[in-house]
Amino acid sequence: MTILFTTQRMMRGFGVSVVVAELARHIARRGHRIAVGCLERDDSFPGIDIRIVPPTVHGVAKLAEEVDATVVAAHTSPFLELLPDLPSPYIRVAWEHGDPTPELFQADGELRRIIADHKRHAVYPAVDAVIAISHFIAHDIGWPDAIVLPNGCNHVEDRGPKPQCLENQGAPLRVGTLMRLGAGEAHYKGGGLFLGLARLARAEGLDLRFTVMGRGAAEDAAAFQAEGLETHLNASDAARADFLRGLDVFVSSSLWEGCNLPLIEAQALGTPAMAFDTGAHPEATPLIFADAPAMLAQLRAYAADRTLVRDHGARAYRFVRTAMRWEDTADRFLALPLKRQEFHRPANAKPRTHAGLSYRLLRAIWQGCWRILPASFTPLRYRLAGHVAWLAHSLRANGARGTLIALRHRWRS
Amino acid sequence: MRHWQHLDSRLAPYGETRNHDRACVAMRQDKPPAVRTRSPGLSVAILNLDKPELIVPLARALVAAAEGFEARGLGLQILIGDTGSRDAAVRAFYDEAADRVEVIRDLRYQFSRCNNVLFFEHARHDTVLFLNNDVVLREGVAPLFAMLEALAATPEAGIAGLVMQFADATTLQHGGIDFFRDGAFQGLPHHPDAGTRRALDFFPPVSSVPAVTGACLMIRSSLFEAIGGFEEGYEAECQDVDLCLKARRTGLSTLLIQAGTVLHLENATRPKGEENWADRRLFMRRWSAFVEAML
Repeated sequence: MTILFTTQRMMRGFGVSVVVAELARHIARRGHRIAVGCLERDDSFPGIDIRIVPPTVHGVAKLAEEVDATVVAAHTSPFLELLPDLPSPYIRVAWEHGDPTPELFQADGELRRIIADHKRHAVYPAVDAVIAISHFIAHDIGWPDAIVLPNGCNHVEDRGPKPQCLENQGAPLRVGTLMRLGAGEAHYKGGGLFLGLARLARAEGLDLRFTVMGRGAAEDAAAFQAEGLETHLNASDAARADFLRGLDVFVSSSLWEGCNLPLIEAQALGTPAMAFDTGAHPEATPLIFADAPAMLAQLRAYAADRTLVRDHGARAYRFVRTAMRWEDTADRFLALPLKRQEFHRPANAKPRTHAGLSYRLLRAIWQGCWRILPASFTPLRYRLAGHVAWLAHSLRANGARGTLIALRHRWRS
Repeated sequence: MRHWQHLDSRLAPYGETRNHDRACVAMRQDKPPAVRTRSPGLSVAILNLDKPELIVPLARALVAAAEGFEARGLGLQILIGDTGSRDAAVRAFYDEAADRVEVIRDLRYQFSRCNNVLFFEHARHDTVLFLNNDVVLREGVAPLFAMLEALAATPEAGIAGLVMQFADATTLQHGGIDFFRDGAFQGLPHHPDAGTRRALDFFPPVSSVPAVTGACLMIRSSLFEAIGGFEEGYEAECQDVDLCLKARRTGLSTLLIQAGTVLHLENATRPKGEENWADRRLFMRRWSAFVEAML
């Protein structure tokens, strides 16, 4: 079998890229051919057949034909949205990593909701399988029948649980986090909440040392540095692993995660990892907290009892290492009874690929946005794509006249 | 969480929740209550609504025990959180006992919130006992002293509960709380052997259990403060188990004390058979991975 994965990017610093790469490697080890099509890439994933592909049905179909794929699995927009229109004989799989809760974004929350709604109404019902990386994602995308295939953790070197020994006895408890630091995601990634936790700890006089590692520009780290937190920017994979292993406690203050790879990686390196009761965290760590004061209570207990820290770290290590393995994910994917479904249409219905001129024009504009605009215009891309997606969805559902009426209502409101 | 695939659908942890609502809880900025200095002794917190046949004998038994506490150098404070009693006998008792029992009136019933109010705003001793009004201390308050002594002798414990029986004094009502370890309810708390005939001496005087019922739950005040009290997100159930697990997470265990006949009439003050699946789903989200990995 040959599988074509499609995703927006294959670049360091993006969890979806890590997932796609690990799946690709483990599927390849099982004797299947795998290729990855994306819009942008760097050199972080050697040994994987990664190709740039335009975000069009024709582009993906052409690549699928080139690699002789039987299965096309899309991991992100804009490729998810192309799946329903992929021609026979490709088996179409939507592999959902989810999208952050729209209400957590002031600037473009409405557009994010439009994109999510479009997938729910027009993509998931029209593909051959929907996979979700967690039970949370299956719930969050509104597709409870999605097949849940959790991510693995064993892309991280196995250094075993940390020994119950004397290092760092008497030293401040090292509490750290790892997150993307850019302004666009800062709110939902919970940077402010992590700072708030550090402030609470300082106000109480707790002997804790807070540290942040992340991907971003120097100005993204300024707020943390101003509060006296140690920061590490754009570290290598090896430095990242050393950082996670070297912490006493990892804290994620994120308000939405489909999986939270840093949380899982920290545990895989023997560090207990705390998170809020948000996103998929209840599936990713045994240490779930309602809010920052609850986290602080636990940090207080850890600061007073390093044996407790080590014990929790060892148990967390076993929790993730036994249940989250890429080979299991790959095996379960390969065992799925995937087959192409031909969705029933009324006898006189026009085939989807011959939709009306206005719909085709809009789809061309949408796909053109992705091709023409450089990567730095991603927020604009999403904005335009959201508008076009709404129009395309409305045209298909309501026709031209219905869409005009809906547009008038939108403008008035 | 592979076992979530097999859970009873009513326990699906994300249920009808929206992530945004969960995020709002995470973002809340409630100021922690001020830490109070607490003197040695026991503050007993009881929620009550009418039921003179329950609250009056219970409160009188506690009042009568004050001398015994004093002899041990301990204070005793009796707090009743009244959630709207209209029964004349109850109101008369409150008036009669006003110099020995503190009644906080007009609370709107919610187990966690009301008990948190009683503790954070009124309790003044270094140990607190949350007690249902349908617990009957058949042999006097000796079990309470047994709980205090067990906690004093076990610094690694933070909470203690009692073995209790139903009204017939032979059927087990509470012998500690454990968790289903497999099946459709994996991770959910339950009362092992409840409803079976169990002689009291089946239980050792002091043993360690994962959790105890909030119907009779004694906890060090400093611990209750440190872990933020009862979680108010639970409307009706699981808040007691949540508290015990919060304590366990900080390294402090829960003790089960067998100290003679103590009855719990169970559901004398709550409709029988009432189950709150939203509370259970919240519990599963917060604790099923902890139960799997840490216990």
